[in-house]
Formats: sequence, C-alpha cells, structure tokens
Amino acid sequence: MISRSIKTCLRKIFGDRFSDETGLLFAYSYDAKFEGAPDAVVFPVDSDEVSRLLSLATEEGFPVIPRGAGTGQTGGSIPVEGGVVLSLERMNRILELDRENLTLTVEPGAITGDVKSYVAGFGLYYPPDPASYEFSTIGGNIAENAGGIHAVKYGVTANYVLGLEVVLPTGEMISFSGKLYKNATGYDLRDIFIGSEGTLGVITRAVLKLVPAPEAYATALVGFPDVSSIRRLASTVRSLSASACELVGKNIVPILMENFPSTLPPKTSYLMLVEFDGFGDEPKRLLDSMLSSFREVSFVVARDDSERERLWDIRRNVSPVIRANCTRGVSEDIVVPPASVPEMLEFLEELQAEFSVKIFSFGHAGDGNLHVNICYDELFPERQIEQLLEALFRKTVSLGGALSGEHGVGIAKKRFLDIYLSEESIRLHRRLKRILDPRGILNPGKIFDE
Amino acid sequence: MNESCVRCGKCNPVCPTYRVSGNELCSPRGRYLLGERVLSGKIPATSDVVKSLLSCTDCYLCNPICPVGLDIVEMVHRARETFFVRDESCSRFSLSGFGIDYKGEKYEGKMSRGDGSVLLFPGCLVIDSFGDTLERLTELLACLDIPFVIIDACCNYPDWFKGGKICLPVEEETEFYVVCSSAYISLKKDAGVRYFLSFFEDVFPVRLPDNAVFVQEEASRSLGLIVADRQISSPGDLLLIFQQDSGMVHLLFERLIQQARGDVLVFESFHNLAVFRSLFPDVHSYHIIDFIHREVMES
Repeated sequence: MISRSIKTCLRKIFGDRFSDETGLLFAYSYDAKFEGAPDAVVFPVDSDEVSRLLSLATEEGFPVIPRGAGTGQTGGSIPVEGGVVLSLERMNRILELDRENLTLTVEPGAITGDVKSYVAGFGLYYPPDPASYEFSTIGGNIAENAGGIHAVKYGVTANYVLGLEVVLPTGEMISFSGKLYKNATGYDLRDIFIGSEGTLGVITRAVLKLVPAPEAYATALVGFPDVSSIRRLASTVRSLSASACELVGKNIVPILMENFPSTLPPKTSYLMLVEFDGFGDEPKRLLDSMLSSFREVSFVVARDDSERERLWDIRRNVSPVIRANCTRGVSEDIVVPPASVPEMLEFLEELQAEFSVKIFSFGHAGDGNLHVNICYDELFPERQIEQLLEALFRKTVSLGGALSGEHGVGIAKKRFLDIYLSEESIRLHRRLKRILDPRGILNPGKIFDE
Repeated sequence: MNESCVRCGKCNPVCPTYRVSGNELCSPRGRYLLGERVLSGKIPATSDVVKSLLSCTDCYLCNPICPVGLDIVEMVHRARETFFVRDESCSRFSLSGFGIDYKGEKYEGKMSRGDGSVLLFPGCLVIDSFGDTLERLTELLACLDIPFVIIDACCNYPDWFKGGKICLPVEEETEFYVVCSSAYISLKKDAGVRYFLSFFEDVFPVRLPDNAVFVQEEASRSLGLIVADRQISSPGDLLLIFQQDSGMVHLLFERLIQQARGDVLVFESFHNLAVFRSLFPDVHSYHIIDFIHREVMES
C-alpha cells in the first residue's frame, strides 16, 4: 500500500501523469500471462523523473515496477506486492541515427518494430526479433535479453546494446559505455542490467548497434524423417551461418499437412525452416551446401519471394495451430546446447508418454531454444503439472541447458530456479541485488526471493 | 468457438489512440479487457473507465490484427451501453461547435428531390453543412446518368456507437447508397447498404495534386478500395470524441498531419472533415468528392 503522503509526492513529480484511478490500475495489472494489483501508475517523460521516483521509493520503501509494453510472458512487469508501476511508454522516441558509427540511440519505450522499420529505410538492420517485436519495447527487450528467430546468426539483444543509461534503485543515473565497439575500461557493468528483468535498474536510454541490411535470401523447408536425422543440423547451420533454423515438431506437422497439403516435403516427422541471408549468390550457395550435406531429408526450396512468403506462413501458422488444438496447458522456452536438440526431442516423446500429455514443440533449433507447449485435459491434476515441469527442467539442465532462452524467469519460473542455479550463484545474485537495491524496492518478487 | 483475449498486445501499436497517448487505457487490449469486466460488473464504470471506453474512434484497425479473431470494437460498443442513456428515437444531436443546431425532435425521413431509382443517403451533416459538396456529387451522378433520390434522414451514428440501432424511412433490404463514411460504418450491417464511392471505381485511383493525401476511413478500407494514389489511414471517427475529449482529438489530428507530412488532407468522412476544419482552420482540407468531381468533369 502507498500512503496518501507518498501519492502527494508522486503527484508533485508527475502531475497528471500520475494516477490511482480504478480503470488505470486495472489496465496496468496484467501482462500477457500474469495479473497483479498496483497501487498507482506513473508515466515519466525523462530520466530525471525516473531518478526522483526511485530516490523516493528507496527513501520510503515502496515497490516500483518498470513496464514497457506489458507483453511479457513471465510476469516481469506485474506488481506482486503492490507498489507503483513505472510505465516507460511515453519515453518512446528514436533520438539519433548515427550513420557513421552505425548506431541508433533510443528511449526505452520505443517499439522494436518501429526501430526496425526506421533503420530499414536507411538500408540498415537491427536484427533482434522476438515474436513480440511488433508490439514490445526496446527497454523490455533489453531487460529480458530478448532473442528471436534470427538470433541463430545475429545473436540476441545483448549483442546489440553498445551503451545504456540506467537509473539505479537508489536514484543515481549512470551511463555505461556508448558508441564503442570495444571497451576495456573498468568493469563491464553495462551487461549486468541486460536481462536483469527490471530488478537492478531502470533503463532510460540505449545506444543500439546496427548492421547493413541483407539483400538476398535463400529459404527451404526441410523434412526430417526421424530424430536421428536431425543430428549435425546445429553444427551445420551454425558453421554456415544460417539466418534462421526453425523447428516444427512432430505433433504439429500432421496438422500443418492438412492446412498446406502440397507445400510440405514428403516423409516428414519434423520440419525445419532454414534460411540464409546476405548478398548476391551467397545465400543460395550456402543453402545448397547445407542441403547436400544431409542425405535422409526431403526439402522444398523457395524459388521466388512469394514462395518464400508461403514457407514462412507455415512457420507463422504454428502458434494458431497450437492454440486451436490445446485448450489447457503450459508453455516453456527451455534452451540446451544446440547439438542436444535431438536428445531433448527424444526426451519430450518419453515425457509425453509418461504423463499422458500432448507436447507441441517448435522454435529456434539452431540455438537449442525450443518452445515446448505441454497440453492436457481438464482432469489432469495440478500437482502432476509441477512434476512434469520439474522433470523437463531437470533433463534440460542435465543436458547443459537452462530454464529459459528468451522469456526470462519473472514470477513464472522462480520456484524452479535452483534446478539451474547453484546455491553459490543464487547467493551471489542476492548479494548483487542488495548492493544495488538496499531496500529491495525495484521489481521485488522476481527471479529469486531476496 | 468462444475465443477470449490472450493479452498478447499485438493490437496495441496499430491503434491511433494508443500511439498518441502511450496509455494502456486508450489501447484496444485495455479497452477490450476493461469492457469485459464492465459488462460482467467486475469493474464499475468510474470516470476514467468511461473515458477509456469512449476513447475508441472506431477506426477498426485493431480487429484484423487480433490473432484469435476478436471483435474488439464490438466489445467496446457493448460496454458503452452499460453507462450510456439510450435514446430509442431517431435522434439528431447538437453540433453547436460547428454552428449547427438540431431541434431534437423525432425525424421522419422524406424524399426531397430527384426522380430516379437510386436512393442516396447523404446524412444530416452533409445536407446541412456540406451543401456545395453534395451539389458536386449530384452533378457527378447526373453526368454518369444515374437517376437518384435523396433521403433526408439520420443514420443515428451517435446512438449506434453506444450499441444502438438505426431507423430509416425505407423498407428493409432496399438498396441505398450512403455518402458519409461514418454513416456507412454504422449502417453497413444492413443488407441494403452500399457506399457511394463504388459509383466511381472507374476513376480510381483519383489523381490528387502532389501536395495532397487521401485520409482513408474504414468504409473504403472494408471494401478494399484504393481511392487515391497516395493514402494514409484515418485515426477513426472523431466527431463524438471531440465532444468528450478534445485534447485527444487534437493529438490524433496532429499525428495525422505529421503522417501526411504537411500536405493537404482529403477526407472521405464528413465527420472528421468538420471537426478537422474547426480545430485546424489553417490547414487545407477537402472531401474526396471535390477531386472526383474535377477528375470526371475534366475528362
């Protein structure tokens, strides 16, 4: 609960960009998966206001929950102990394109899709493309270290953050690095904030790295008859630098076969959408090289842009297919070393049989990051869901993997964190959190308990 | 199948009111979820809730984006019914901001002129405030040898946007052509409704001068018409928002001017044209009929 006097202070800072009205509190109580109950919402327009808010929060001891577009999957922007939701939506400007240094400076509320479109107009490319990129924000993407389809070649959001301005939980504003591609001066503190899920600082400005936009593509839909034929896929796509390697799992393929009868390659248990991007003939040459190194597969190669679109449509149809065939379930985004994907797929078959559930898996096989949708009926007992998830995460970690490749821990995976992180690591997490946030006011209740 | 909102947020960035406000309360996702809870009684219709539900401009840009196929606009309308007083009669509303006063009595439609077979429905705003443009339209129809009759009636848009039904002085399923794009949206579920722009498809895309841009409404968008060679999307119908939240209307039109990059704005909605002219009298604005008229007369 926030006292009336604190609300008065907040009104002084934010004016009519402070509210505790019914409708607004509701609108800022949810993200894509979770709900909470904020006491107030504020909309800063600059980092100075953020700094004043956090100083006040540390002094008075009330929670502050940073929020971008509120499209997260793990409850990262949801208040668990009440408090003030800090919406960065109005700090959404693209500030500067530097064509000499190939950088873009933006405010955290800028929508990633807008950033991508903007730089594309100059022949440049900002590669990170989480599934939500058209509606999520750069700040949110940085806080979650968002990935996406093209991470297999281009890397994740962390690889594109050159500079950050952050407001610490105690209110200090600090800038980290800038338009530098190399920096060995002082600890690399910038990177602590990337993927910190809004628990160590509030991002108020980012300097993003840009690359030249590719001009040519070569795309194929590859059908694998069984799991063993997928071995060597990861090493092949990674050494050839495929720009996309997207798996469609066994249970989804037959449904897609019905919707796209003539487009899919024959004799397919698993489908992989593979794409190479670049310039001139290079993508085609690389695709041919990849396809010739797999004997047991069948494939369909896109001969022009419209065929390429049709192949991507198949991949885009995966989520609607799962939604239509799965009324109740959980969805996880585990990550394993890429070469362990076949073993994980075999394990998912066993898990499916053991628990009598239906598992729809798909996603970024080239990164080893699979979206695993586990579906069950209304009679499936709750405690079995926990057992099932624990089994999934334990297997993931035993393969050298981690609980989440992209979605973060947030509220959703907190209780499983010690499956992946050692006691020493969790203690170190807590120590770092205490140093930066002595009163534990910034986004409490996320990732781990303090 | 009864789909429910999955809260993905995909609808938000296409919404003009979300874009200018940066506020979830003025977003499709926010209004949909709030509307659901107002209808079920879980959330009371407090003033900020009412303001949120009124902030939707019926541009319909959100509906096609929704991955589970929700009719977001319809939810908003249904929710509005819970706090709006409905008026069962064909009501005209006061547009005193534009110097138009209606008597507020129940209006019986009448056939006013013409002697032909096409029923033309301009709507009250067109007849009362855009007489010149209506003249040009009737000249065009005469040029194309289309005999018409004008129905002088109210489309009941102000009641429709709160979930109301329109009442027209014609028999059901009679074919008639609506002239105002907002009236078309409120009437289009009726079997007989047509949109007047379909008469002119042979001249599309209309040649606009280099410094003009067409502001496309849901009417021509829903019919898949490419009306002019340079067109941008309208932020929706802003007439009634104008009476509730002129700050929002200002922001929406400012954004529209930015998107037009300062060019002359050519509307298909008489509502928006009327509001725009009253707020931005120094920016040149027209109705598309003016340019179709020029195109047809010159050829």
